Amino acid sequence: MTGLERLRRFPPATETPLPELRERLTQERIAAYAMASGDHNPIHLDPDYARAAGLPSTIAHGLLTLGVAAAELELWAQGSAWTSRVSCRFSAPLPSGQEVTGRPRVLETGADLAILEMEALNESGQRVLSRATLQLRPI
Amino acid sequence: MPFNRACLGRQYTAPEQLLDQERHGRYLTAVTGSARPETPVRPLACFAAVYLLGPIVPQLFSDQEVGLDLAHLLHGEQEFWFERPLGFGDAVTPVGLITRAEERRGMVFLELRCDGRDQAGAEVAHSRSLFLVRSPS
Repeated sequence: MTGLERLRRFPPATETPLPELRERLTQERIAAYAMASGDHNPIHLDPDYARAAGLPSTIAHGLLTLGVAAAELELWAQGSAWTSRVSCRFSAPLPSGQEVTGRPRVLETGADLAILEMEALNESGQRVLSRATLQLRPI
Repeated sequence: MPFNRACLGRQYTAPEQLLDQERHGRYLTAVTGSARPETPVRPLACFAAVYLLGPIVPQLFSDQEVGLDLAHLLHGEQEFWFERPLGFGDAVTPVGLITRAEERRGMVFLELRCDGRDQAGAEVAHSRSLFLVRSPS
């Protein structure tokens, strides 16, 4: 059964077998993202620079956190759906080395649209992504 | 260098970006944490961070006429949306535009809109980014 077919079997707000988010964003992964994206802002890469900027340590790129949260859902749904929109608010910085966790849920489904909400928390239980949604449309 | 609110409307251009599997593979490895043996059917949506924002944002961040304090800059909000599914082999030409530039209570709010056109000249990918710059104190 494809991802969107699975979504359609469940009304909104019903527990679905969506993949849970549990990823540790190590400094190595942050560096790999900097290389892949071209975003080399030293607050992500240089601990001394980050501390001088008032941060406890280097922090993950917001777009890495969003990309991590969105990727598993997209890979889960691929073959039956494409992503027409993804959006979020970055609520708090995610220090390097922390695990980000979240449990996505279905907000809305229809004939040609499914909207998923992707919650993402840091190790303190603080929300790092809020109002994070991903819109899927059937191919 | 102080933030320049007159940067509103400032535009940035970049050459055509190919959505190739090699570059996407590096992105996928970074966001999934491991090299995946299978190639996704199509590029992930947030890969737009690479082909749409990647060529534009460094220009904004290094623009002396804007004067962003990178040490205190945070990414506040992000939105990507697409007119059609993009595939490997598509090429997108990005254009960036500063659509909001203001200071309130010592905090800078700068919004960057990026739009990408395909080889046929149709707009296919869009991005809205809100950047915040905290007061250094």
